[in-house]
Amino acid sequence: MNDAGGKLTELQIMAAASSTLVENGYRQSPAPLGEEWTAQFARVFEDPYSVVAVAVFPTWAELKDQWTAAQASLISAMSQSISSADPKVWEGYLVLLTPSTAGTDRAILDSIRRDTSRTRKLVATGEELRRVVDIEEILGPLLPLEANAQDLMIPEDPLESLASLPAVRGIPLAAIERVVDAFRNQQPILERLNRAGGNG
Amino acid sequence: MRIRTLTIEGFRAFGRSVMLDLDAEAVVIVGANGSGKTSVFDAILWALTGKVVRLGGVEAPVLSMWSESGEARVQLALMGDNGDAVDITRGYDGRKSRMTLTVGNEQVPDALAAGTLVKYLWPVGLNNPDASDALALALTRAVYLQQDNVRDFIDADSDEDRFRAISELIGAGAVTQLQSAMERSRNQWTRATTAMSQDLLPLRERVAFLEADLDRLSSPGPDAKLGQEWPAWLESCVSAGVEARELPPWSSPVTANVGEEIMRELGAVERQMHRRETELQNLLAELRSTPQPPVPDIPKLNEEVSRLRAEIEASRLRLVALRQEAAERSRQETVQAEQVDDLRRLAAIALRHLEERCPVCDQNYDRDSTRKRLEGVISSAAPVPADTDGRAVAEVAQSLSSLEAQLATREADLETASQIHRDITARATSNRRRLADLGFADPAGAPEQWLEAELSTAREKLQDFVELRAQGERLLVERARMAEISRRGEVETELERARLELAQLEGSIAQRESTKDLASKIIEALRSAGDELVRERLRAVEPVARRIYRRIDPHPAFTTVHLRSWLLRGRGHMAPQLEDPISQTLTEQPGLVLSSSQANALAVAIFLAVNLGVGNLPLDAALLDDPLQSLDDVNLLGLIDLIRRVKQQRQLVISTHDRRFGQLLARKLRPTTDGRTVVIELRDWQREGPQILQQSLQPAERTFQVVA
Repeated sequence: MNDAGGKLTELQIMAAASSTLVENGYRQSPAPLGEEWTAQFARVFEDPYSVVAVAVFPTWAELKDQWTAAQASLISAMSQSISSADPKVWEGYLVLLTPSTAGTDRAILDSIRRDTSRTRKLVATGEELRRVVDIEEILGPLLPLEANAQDLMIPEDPLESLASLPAVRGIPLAAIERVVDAFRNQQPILERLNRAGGNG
Repeated sequence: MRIRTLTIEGFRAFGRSVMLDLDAEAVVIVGANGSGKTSVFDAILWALTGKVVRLGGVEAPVLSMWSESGEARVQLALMGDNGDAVDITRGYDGRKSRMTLTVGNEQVPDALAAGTLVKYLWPVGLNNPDASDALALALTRAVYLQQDNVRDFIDADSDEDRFRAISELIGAGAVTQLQSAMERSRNQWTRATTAMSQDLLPLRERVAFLEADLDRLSSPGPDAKLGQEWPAWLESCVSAGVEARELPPWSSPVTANVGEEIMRELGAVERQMHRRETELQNLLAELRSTPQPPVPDIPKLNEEVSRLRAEIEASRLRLVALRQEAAERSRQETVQAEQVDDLRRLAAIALRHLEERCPVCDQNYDRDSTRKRLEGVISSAAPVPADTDGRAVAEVAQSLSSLEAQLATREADLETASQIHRDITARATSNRRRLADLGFADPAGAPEQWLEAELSTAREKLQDFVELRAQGERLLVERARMAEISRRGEVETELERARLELAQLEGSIAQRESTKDLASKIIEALRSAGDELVRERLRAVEPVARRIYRRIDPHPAFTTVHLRSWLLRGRGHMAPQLEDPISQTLTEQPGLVLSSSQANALAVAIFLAVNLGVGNLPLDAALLDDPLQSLDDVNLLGLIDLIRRVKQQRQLVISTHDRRFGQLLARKLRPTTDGRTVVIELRDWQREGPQILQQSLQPAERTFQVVA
């Protein structure tokens, strides 16, 4: 986010997109997308699955006018390096970004996005690109899923960790243990609780 | 846990035995509708749970009509994270099913197989009353996305169903189960406590009754002297006519009963005495109050009556004779008068016919003298009868009447006298009988005197009875007091026991109430804990769902998904929400703003989010049965790109009926540097099953080509 306008600049967008892709296993081509593009705002990335071109336009109007050229450049780059028999030749992705807003052209934007004739397009304008994290979100389809199953592992028996839950705080630990034990052993729960004197 | 192979025989679309190689990171199953794709997924589910919920949970439909062996049999080979091989074989012959489980090289006993399998695959399900159901739910909610039920989570399920399903999946189901079990236990507890409380009232009443009873019971010590009177009193009673009996000691519990018996007998004797006294008194009074009437002279009266009757008879005879005489005389007088009349009439006739000669005898006669004579005859008077007979008869009749009147008087007197005589005789007889009844068979002397003596004696005896009875009553009262004193001890003991019981019951109820209160707190805590767990898990799952949904990107405006949970009336609810971040619009009913294909995409996104968001699934796999239908190209590509990423974390088995889409999937899911992707093509289905082509895709030779 720049200090002046409160929105991301083209450079910031490209930098964020590049770092995001590289951090997620993409390699960046040192060359620009094509001769007509500058490496500052149009770059090529590749991972084992796919080839990704990221083009950042100063304005929505330029994006609207030039996205087909960018796609042609990507197709050209891929065809030069990947044989037509290689499945990867079908795995081209074109990321079209601009810090400016599409305004009333949302339908056009959507039509670009829906055009899957040669490559899949990921399109975002200033409406969506407000923070760096928004760029990561736009690039999401190209990134590994962040769901880390290990982080979401649940204990095999959640009753073991019941007493640690905030909701259960304030209940005597012994009472919780008796209740859980009775439940596991299919014993009358309140009977067990009562045997301890009704106060846990 | 990862799937290695699946062998199917006689199951659904597979008549003959087929083994599918599923030991890959990604398996793409391609086949036209009806070729058996879904049967592959159902076979996995059936092998694991013994039921296919979408088929109604019954086993009959799983058996292929063209099974070569006549049974359905599925063998599923799994591999655990630690490399353990787990083989499940399930069979169904149309009547019963069987399952064998082999872990490593050891077969688990059949009786333990189902439980062991759940323990291996879904340990949290063991907290569920039906662990197999819990496993099936976990599989169908988070592992196997069934073609027919893709949108159930969005459309068909209620908010509570979703919450319950999520709870089960993230392990909070155990907390919910515990909560439900506690609620049931608390309800039973409350009923039992209420029943106990109902026992309080009678117990309190019993204590109050015993306290009142104790107040009423005599407390001073017994009069020991009275005990000494007891034999003497009984002896007196026997003397007075009570039947003799064995005498219980004064302190005996039966004394009161014996005393009452004696008193009753005493009463009976006393009543007899009273009756005797009354009879004596009445008899005496009667003798005194009724004067002896003079005895009439009945023989004299009889004699007089006889005399009168004889006189009357004589008078009657005389009267008859007089009347006969008078009648004869009257007849004679009548004959004389008739003769006179006849002569007169003849004289008159002769007079009229006086001729010279007698016309009768034709002789000469003196005419004058004859005339004279005839005239004399005519003028002669008829004889006058004397009335002496009439007077005599009247006199006799009057005399007779007088006699009859006298006779009537005398006969009445005789009757009266006879009645008086009979009365006297009857009274005498009655008195004799009454005296005999009183025991005086042949008394001598004036009855009034000895009746008086007897009455005096009876009254003295009665007085004795009164005293005996009074003494008996005093003894009985005293004996009752003794009993009360004895009873007082019993009541004191009973009261103490009842008070103790009451205190124990009140204490027990108070403790039960305390336990119930604690249980209620725990239930509330568990309810919140369940919600807390679900919220916590949803907080972790929601970003995954959001990213997944964003990658499919089915809707141009509603691009953000939220998974919201809340408690309502103590029950957890959960629902997906969609947000348009630009307009900051939120909808709580995605089904109303999404098209059918968009809703499908959302459902798949949530399913995959749950699949990825639950770390320890029964299988580390995502089984997607033809999930991609009616999607736009861009959404389709988005979904496939997503699935490609899922492959990095889950063993992926996906089917499609679309050959082109199958090719796209094969390409997208191809192995890159290592790993394995298998493509299974089902084609040309016949009764014995489809033809199967299995192909293993190889990694590309060069990983990077554009960027060297």
